[in-house]
Amino acid sequence: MISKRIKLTKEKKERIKRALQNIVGEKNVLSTPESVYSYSGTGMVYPKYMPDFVVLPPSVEEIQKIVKLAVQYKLPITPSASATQEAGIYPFFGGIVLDLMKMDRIMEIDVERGYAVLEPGVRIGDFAMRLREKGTRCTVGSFPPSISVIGNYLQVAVNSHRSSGILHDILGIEVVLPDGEIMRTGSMAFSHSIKNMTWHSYTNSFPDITSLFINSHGTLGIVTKGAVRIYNLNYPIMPLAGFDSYRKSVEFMKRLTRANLCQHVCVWHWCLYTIIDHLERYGHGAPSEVLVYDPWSPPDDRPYNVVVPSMSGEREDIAAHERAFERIAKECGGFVCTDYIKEKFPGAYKFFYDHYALHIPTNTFMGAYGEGFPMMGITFTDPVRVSDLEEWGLRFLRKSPLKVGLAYYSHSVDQTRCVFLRMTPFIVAESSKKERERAMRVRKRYMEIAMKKYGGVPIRPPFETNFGETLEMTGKYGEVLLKIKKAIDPLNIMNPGYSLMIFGKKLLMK
Amino acid sequence: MALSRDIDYLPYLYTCNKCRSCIHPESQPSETICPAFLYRGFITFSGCGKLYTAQGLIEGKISVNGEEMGDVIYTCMNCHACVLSCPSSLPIKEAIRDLKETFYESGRRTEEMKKILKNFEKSGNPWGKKIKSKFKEDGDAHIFPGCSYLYLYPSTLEKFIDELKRKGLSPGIIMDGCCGAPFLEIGAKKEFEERVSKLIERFKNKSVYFMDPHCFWAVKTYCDENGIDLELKSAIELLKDFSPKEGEFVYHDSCKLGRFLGQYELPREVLKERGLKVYEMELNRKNAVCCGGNWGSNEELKKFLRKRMRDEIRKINKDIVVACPLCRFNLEKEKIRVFDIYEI
Repeated sequence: MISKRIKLTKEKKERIKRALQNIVGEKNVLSTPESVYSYSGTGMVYPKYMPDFVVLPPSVEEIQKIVKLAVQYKLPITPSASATQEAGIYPFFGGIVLDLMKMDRIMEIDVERGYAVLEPGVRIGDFAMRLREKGTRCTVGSFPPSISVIGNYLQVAVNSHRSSGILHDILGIEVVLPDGEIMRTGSMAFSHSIKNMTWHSYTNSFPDITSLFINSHGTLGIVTKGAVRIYNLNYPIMPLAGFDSYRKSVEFMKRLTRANLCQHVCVWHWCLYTIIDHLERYGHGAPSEVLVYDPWSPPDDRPYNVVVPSMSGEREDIAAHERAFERIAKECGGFVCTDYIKEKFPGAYKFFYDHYALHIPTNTFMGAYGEGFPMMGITFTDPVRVSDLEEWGLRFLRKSPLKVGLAYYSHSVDQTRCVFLRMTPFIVAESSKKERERAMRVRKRYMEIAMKKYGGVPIRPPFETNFGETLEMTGKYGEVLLKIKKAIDPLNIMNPGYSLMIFGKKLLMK
Repeated sequence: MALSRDIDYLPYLYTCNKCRSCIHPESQPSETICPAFLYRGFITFSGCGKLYTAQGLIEGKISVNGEEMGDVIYTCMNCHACVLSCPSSLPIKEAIRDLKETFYESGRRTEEMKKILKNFEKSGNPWGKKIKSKFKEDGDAHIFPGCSYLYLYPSTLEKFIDELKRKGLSPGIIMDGCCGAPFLEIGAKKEFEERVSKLIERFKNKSVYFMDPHCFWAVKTYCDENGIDLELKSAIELLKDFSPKEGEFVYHDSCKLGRFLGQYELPREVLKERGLKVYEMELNRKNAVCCGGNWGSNEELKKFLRKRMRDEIRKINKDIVVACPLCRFNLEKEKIRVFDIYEI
């Protein structure tokens, strides 16, 4: 059982390096500190953890061999696709980082069956463009075009522009397990015995194993292929509605989604759409009005919230849907502001249109990311209490000692049975490391209260801080999950440091 | 350890999100524009990898004496593609330059650096050659051909001068061999500044036309950083109104002329005005991929890139025209017909 950072002697490291080179070729292995440092974490303020090796496997066969080698030497393996900010990509205990981005084949786009099969290195921008050529689309989020489709779809709430009622866009996956064997899920589980099986069904009449790999960050195995849902690119419209309170916006989202009027709907706080407008026009930075630390009072020329739906279908239906949108907006105390936003905030309008109507990912947000990220509090919240969370959250963050611009966006999940709320404070780029660390502490406190008082379920596990505390809060659920981890990966080979973080120290106890 | 310029960008080192826009451009997400990433496939060698390397050095997590540090830093064409594609405008350009200077100051030398330095020692220029032709220094149009044209392609320079004379101009060729661009590329800051500062003394009160975009870039970099106001131009401007020609070419964007100096359209306009039909590479202008012609970069990377370019040109099945002597020199090694914009 791997329970701490491994230490390799020079001779052993050389031996493993040669073995890895024999599997993937000399050029596809890095092993010196200077060459592997870029894989030691993200660019953020979090500490770095050096891997011993970074390997570029070209296909699943090589991954199987590498896993068997790792078992032989008791080496940690941390699979990584595009590896943006998630804690799961940190090689906490060293060992091998498997960079899967070289495996970038779109194996098939099956328009008739409504899915595509991808390797983990396929990038969302490339994929979206290929789908457009076939009159189809995939779900995109606010993430940039150059990152992995599978890597993102395997986490909840990253591909947020999903279709109503569909929580995951993964139909089935192919996984290399810690024993080096391959497992497929969904209907393709039967490919083990039936030759012409396809990926069409997410279920196979047994308990669903695919979901076990959602949010697993490589702790249970290495996902080497995924079948993802694709959708018709129907005729789109994008009316916008303005509201003077989040409470009204949430009510509007609920009515729209429950009447099946849209595929997706999102609330944008004025600070955030002002920033987006700025980013679309100027590339980076933030306008001064969002740094006034008063998140409740937008300038007179803009609504407090803008609600943006993704609506598409046959033209006749859509025209009727647009009329219903207008009526419900008024009934909820809002107003239609499509033309106004288009004229006054053309950058924001373009961003909305690219994402909600055309379904094309852009890197607009990248210019504003950076140091604000450690502060983001992201929750799946009870729809009845989410407006209270917004009110309290802004007050809490405003009172904190941080000099930040506050903003958020929020969207409906599962016909607003659940509401995603992402507080997104922006710290000015010149802020000190100390301030960033303080920001992380504030975020921790925010999440604790959001959970206890408002039913806010944390979407990302906290980074490095609580070693299984969150899972322990789930009682028997956590125990079952732990048993599964131990059964599948008894040596804790798969992303062991992160395993320790989410499963906690109990993982190491016999 | 401190890097010489880190004060300017240290806070921004922590804002890279690994969005990979420095590798695959937003406008063409299916393509790869980072030559080093194309060659190695690891982010270590990309623009964001350079930021991480700078971060690691500053924090003392890695050492400039690391076995592969030379490879990590110089497996890069300094082509600027990452710099222009980064949505956060992160200081990749500064980090690359800083890393090179830190490496050079540590006393370490890559094989490519050794070769350049040896040539300078031997002949005072990076080619290690002697000038074969003599040119008149006095004239109205002050042209700086740079060492590549003086030592390597003097006949191109002669033909260009003849054309200028036919146009009624009186070209004066500034015979100083090297502007110091190779020093700038390898991180030899002091040597670069010594050379370029002497050179620009000769440029004062003149409009200087550069034939080699690398020289143009190096001199402009020095002038911009030191607040020196000189009138610097590309000699391609002088090609306007040259005699018409017939032919079909695919134009390859030089990294220095295009991404660094922003001159994407001028060479195309000049070629078209002369009656030539110009085709485009699949990736062009801002998204053009470096052909592998640069000073001091990893030799294997250069070889990989020129072979890649050779294959693409063969597919297009047209002769290639370039506006940079380093692109020309590099691609000529692949035995393909390469035309110089000054010699068509």
